[in-house]
Amino acid sequence: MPQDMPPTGGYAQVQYKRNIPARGFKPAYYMIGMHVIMAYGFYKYFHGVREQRELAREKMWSRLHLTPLLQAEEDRDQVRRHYADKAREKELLGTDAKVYNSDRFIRPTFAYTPANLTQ
Amino acid sequence: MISIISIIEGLLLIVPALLSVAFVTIAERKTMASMQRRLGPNAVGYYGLLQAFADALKLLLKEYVAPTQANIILFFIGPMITLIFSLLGYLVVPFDSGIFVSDYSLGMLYMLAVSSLSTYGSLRSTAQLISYELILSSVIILIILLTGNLNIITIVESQRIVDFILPLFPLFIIFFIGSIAETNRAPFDLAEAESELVSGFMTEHSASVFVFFFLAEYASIILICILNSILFFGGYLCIIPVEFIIDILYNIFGINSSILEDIFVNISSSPLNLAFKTALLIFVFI
Repeated sequence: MPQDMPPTGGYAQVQYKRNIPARGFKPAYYMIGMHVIMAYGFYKYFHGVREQRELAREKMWSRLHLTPLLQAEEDRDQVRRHYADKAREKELLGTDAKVYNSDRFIRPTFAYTPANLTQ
Repeated sequence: MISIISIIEGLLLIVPALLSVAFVTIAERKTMASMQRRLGPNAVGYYGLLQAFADALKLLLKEYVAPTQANIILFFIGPMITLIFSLLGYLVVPFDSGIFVSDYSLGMLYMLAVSSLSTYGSLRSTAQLISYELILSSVIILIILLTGNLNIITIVESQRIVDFILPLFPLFIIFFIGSIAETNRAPFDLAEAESELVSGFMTEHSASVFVFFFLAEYASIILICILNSILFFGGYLCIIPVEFIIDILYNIFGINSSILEDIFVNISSSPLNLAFKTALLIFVFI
């Protein structure tokens, strides 16, 4: 029995490509557009990062300049409390007696306890 | 006194959230109706605006049915957990500069944790959610890389120069698709099993338990839309490029009015911006 062979000259072309009109742009244009958007976004974003760094630097330096003022205020408060403490001790003990057995200055720790707390 | 104030704060957040959930359901039904050339709900209230409340009233008055083989405690606690966790997510949302319930420094992490806890459902739903949660968290990690902070307010404020949708444009698309999948909406609603069951995992629930589920689902939709607009559209920041307008006014028309600048600064951050962006995203969801 003869084998079933392809027709002489081969088979006819198979129509596999759809002939529908292309819609929209080429895909490459979409990709380029996306990259353009992203490039612009990152360009602006880097500017934003620089501005934030500058603001952080400014904040840091303003605090650095404020430090002496705040330190002076705290020192003043400490001195006032120290003398008040001494006076209280003198009133309790009569003489100018020392609580500690040395001349070394010990920075006292005061806790601020206001009478009526809010919040 | 302080505890009363904090309770009022919570109510001020939860009541509008639930109201917006109610109106989103009506908006969805109306939009879908107009897509399908129907009228949609139009009997209750003007333009059918009170339909959601009528539905809620009906469902709350109905008798609940519990399956005999079900673990009754878990059966009723499940929807409650879902609702509570989807409402907990609103805790860290900044609505305006200075208007928030909690300025939590790990806000983004909290949001991820809460949103993954509020997921509930069958095995199929869980598999879907696990696979899409990964995408969401990866995109969020990239945004954290750009801002260098987990605080949501810092994330919003770092978008003053440029919204993250511009540098991360493809990621926004990925995140949005992921969030649609996360909330089981239209193309990803295989957990709902339209062809096999009526409403998927919600079938067995009725009456008030069903209300909880329904509210939770829509609350999580709104929440994830808010999250989208915070991460990519600059949250409460202005839609209009205010500085650009000021520059044009100054450079071209020579106007340098401090009153005008004050007005622009005041409109530059408003809850209305967040509302507008979120509403737009919810419309795309529907």
